[in-house]
Amino acid sequence: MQFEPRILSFLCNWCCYAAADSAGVARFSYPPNNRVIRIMCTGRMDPQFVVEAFYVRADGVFVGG
Amino acid sequence: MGECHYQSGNYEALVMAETVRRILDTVGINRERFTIDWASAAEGPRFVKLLTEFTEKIKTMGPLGEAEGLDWETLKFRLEAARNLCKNMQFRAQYGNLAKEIKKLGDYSPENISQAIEKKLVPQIRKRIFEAELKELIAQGPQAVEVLREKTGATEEEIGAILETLKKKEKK
Amino acid sequence: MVEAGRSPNIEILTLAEVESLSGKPGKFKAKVKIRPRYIDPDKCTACGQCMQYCPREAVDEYNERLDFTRAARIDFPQAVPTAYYIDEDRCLQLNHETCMICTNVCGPKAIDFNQEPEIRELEVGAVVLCPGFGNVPEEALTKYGYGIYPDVMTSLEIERLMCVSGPTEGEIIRPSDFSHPRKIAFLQCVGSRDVSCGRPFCSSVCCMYAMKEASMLKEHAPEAEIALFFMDVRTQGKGFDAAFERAVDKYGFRVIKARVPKVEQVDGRLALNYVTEEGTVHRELFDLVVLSVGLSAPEGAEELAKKFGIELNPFGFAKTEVKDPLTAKSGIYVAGAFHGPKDIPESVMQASGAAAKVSELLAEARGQDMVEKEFPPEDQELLEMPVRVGVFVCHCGVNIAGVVDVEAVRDYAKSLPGVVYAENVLYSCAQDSLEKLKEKIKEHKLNRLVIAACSPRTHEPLFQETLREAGLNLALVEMANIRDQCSWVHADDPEKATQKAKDQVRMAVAKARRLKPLELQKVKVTPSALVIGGGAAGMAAALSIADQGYEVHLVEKEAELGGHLRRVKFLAEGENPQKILKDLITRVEKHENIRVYKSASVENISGYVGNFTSTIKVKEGSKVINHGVVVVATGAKEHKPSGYLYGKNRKILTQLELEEKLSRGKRGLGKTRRVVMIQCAGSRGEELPHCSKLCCQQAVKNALRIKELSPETEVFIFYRDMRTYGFYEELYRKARNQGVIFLRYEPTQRPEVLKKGRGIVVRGYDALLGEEIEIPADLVVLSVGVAPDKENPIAQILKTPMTDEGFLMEAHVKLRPVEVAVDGVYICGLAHGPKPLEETLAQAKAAAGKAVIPLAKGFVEVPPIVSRVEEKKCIGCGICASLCPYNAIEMVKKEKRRKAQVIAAACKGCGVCGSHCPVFAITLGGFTDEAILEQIQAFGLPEAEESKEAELEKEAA
Repeated sequence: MQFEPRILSFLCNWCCYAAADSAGVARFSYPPNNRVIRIMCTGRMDPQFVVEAFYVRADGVFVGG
Repeated sequence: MGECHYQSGNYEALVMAETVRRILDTVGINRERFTIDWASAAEGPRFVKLLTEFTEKIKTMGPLGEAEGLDWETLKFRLEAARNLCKNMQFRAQYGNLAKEIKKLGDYSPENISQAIEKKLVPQIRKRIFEAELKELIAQGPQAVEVLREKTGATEEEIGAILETLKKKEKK
Repeated sequence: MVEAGRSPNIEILTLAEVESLSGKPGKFKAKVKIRPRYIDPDKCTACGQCMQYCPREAVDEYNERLDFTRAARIDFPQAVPTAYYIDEDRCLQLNHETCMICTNVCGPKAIDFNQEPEIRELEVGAVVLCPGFGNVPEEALTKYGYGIYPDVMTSLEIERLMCVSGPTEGEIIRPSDFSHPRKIAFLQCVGSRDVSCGRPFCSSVCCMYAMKEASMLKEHAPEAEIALFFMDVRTQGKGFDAAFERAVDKYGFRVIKARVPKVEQVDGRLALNYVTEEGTVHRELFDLVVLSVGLSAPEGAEELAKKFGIELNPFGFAKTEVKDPLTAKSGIYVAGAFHGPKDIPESVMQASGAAAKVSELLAEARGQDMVEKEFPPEDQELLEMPVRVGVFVCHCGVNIAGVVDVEAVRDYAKSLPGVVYAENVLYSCAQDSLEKLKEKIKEHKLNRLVIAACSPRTHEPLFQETLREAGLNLALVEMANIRDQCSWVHADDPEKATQKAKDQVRMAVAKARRLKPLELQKVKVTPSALVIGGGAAGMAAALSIADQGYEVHLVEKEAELGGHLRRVKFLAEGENPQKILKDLITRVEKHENIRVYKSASVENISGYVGNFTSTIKVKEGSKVINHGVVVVATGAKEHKPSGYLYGKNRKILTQLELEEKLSRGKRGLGKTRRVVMIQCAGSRGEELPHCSKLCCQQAVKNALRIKELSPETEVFIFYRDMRTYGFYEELYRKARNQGVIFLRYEPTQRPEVLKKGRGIVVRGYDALLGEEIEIPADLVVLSVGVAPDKENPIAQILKTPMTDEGFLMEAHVKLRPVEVAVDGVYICGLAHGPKPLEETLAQAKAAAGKAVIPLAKGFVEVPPIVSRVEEKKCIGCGICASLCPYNAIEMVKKEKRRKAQVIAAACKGCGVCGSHCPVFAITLGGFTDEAILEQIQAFGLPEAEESKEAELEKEAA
């Protein structure tokens, strides 16, 4: 079976989260591997969040501002 | 960049990102598993591109640990040390003060951030993570340096130095 | 719509018509006749039983007569009020006094056949007319075989056909044989730009909507081939050109410049004969022909005009003047398509502008009879109970349910720790669903909610309000975005989309368990405005705000007011722009509420909505002012093209430079025998990417002026698409009739300006002749377009986003066209995008209308997502204070110790402080470390979740 990575994304409400919404409105498609946590700003990102994500076995962490 | 809704929040994120990369280096996770990028509200297609590329990259890389040649037990052990590092008050203060210093000087170029972190944070990251790991390992009984190196990913010199300090502390 | 329905200060009268109006502005009496609904909307729960049992069929007008419905019905589920009604023309009881089935099946006993028409007399201060637009005349359709050949459909029918809640649930089938059409043609200008059916004007919106419909058709039926037949592609709105080109590129549309004269049926298909520009005759077969119908004046416009004593223009739309574009008559305003064909952003803008006009008129009475929305006190008992999460999984029609297995998601949600209730909802945002949501909260004692639906960016406020209405704190809801970021983007993989939806729900539930109530704070507003830019837009906005009773500081960088308008000498509409300008300046300078700063610039703006502090640099030094809102009307510049020998030869001018010459009368023209104009000189992909919207009518206006001054002077206009939209089309027709020669060029063959001997020639390609031509010219006039200020310092100070072209970006193109992403900042005029004067003035009113909202309210509610400090933990290191981008954290002495303190009104909720606190003493409401960590852990494999369950049980025990 092909490896399906588990990706956790932290998306800024005003930038990437909004971009992701607009990708939806435009019905673009992309791989269904990511799960999203909305934050208000990438400035909220704490190194511990990324470490925690790998600790629960994320294969990749994407931070989008 | 610089178009952040919150003025400078994303600059702070650059410092965070570089710190994370150094932590990943220390625990032996491929730093490419972490990425930070930007897309404005209007850039749906850009977001799609970024995420698709990232997913592809991770797909080629393979599962966490496996691709790094680390069994999950070892990786988990190291990540536990990293988790503690991230919650450690002294380390957080050092991290916060570094962010404050970079902000004051206003140079958010990747080179500058990388240099500052290399100088001020990396020694702390490595020392604290390895120290925590070694403490834990030694508590399980005497271990060969080879094993310690394998379990922690630290160099022989680093292990030596940390064991020294641990001994001193014990004596006190 | 939902918002209007929820406002306590808006009473919606449906099935109602104004019979007469008397009185004067500020004190009208309107007699309104309300026809019976036969169902009491207060009792109706929109359960749909009446419709289900109603035996009487009726044609579904809402679905463009493509389907059948029942005499008892609701047109669509999100209708406001969300209540059914009975069609009196079809109902058996009302026509034959037999049936009453609905009365018997209606649970809440809402049906009342005894209702009689009611006459109500309303006392109102002002009237805004928004009757919308009407249908094109029958003959405009029949000439294309509509009504004869079933597969000739209107664009409105296609709109319903594509709708997932429409008659075919979104399946595109042609009416004749229910097959899927493979070849589809769109015919533009049906009932527009057509003298033969009495619709000479352009409907402005059809080019763009045809592109949208064609794109959606491709999404529904990717194998379909689509051709669009245009005379000109009129996508002159902001960002429209780029969107159009993207769509053509992405979907491979064929764009054909030809007007198809008629449609014939051949062997079950439709044949189109057309002639392309180079003169070739084509015949092509299509499976489906879509008529892009135009916008006509609303039916009954004459009667309406009589009732309200207003005038109509020759085409039956409301007549207004450029200088006051929203006023039909004192106290009676217009907005939307009744003013002339226009799209949603324009209509919304006009609506805000009309509201500003009303507010100017009624400024004195502001606040009287106002109803404040009140929420019940928070249910402390419920809040203090252990966490009880309710999960609502929305179908969003088929938007989600068509891809994601929503029942499986609901069942999965039921198994999650902390969840005591889960259910599916068809449309969770519909009024009736929100009511049910409140009932469920009470019934199941829910104190945390997870709504798995669309994006919190658009819908969280709605659910937050519902929570407040149910006695819960607004911060106790978390949304899982399973539409915009799931079903819509993973439509090709329902299984993985369902898995993703489950994961997002699990993560949302995890976060919800950690949500804590947050406090709503109110901050007082400084009742004054800063308007930046003293051009037409800035002055009109300043006047409106001042007339509404608030102080205005108007800053102009030049030594005199007027901006761009100073150089405009004539208007396409015939009015005198210099008189309009003079009036504006006089009123601004005399107005007691306006302070004008000339030769001044804004150096700095700090603060937040309601409480800005700005530094204005004037000749004498700096001034600091406090104000509650900002209107940015910084304008734009005339583009100076680098090519076309511009600036190198006196015979080569811009349109504005020509206007200057023409303003001197025949003298200004001298011995000019031949004028050649070049449209899009520098625009639409040359040096400027965008269309500047106003140059086509500007060129035609100036061409006509030349013809008026000197009929023997020849005028040639090279163009790509003549974009004389709306009523400007009349000028275009007139220009052609007066002998102005229009030559179309392709973007690959832009005309060139060359020096030849002592003269100048324009070399271009004539599509009709199929060869290159050279026209010697006495004057070459370039339509150069509008160039934004890419480095707009105000945008940089305010950190407000700009479009790629360099215009200020609105917060939402359709819903918030004069607001930007920063609260309390409004935009209008050329800084927002190119537009003619009339639209600028309407938009300025709109910006003023919006800007006055916080001023009139007197306070702003601080969004609850702000940081807070746990004082006991704080070690006073000050890292947060120095990293805060808003200076919203101060260090204060408390009991001899340094502690951080958040200025809530200045905090924007970025959370930089929290992520850098050494001791986790400061954190962001709604995004606490615990909540995010819990979310991350829930992302982890479900095993982690099980251990959580054990933990939770322990906690509970």
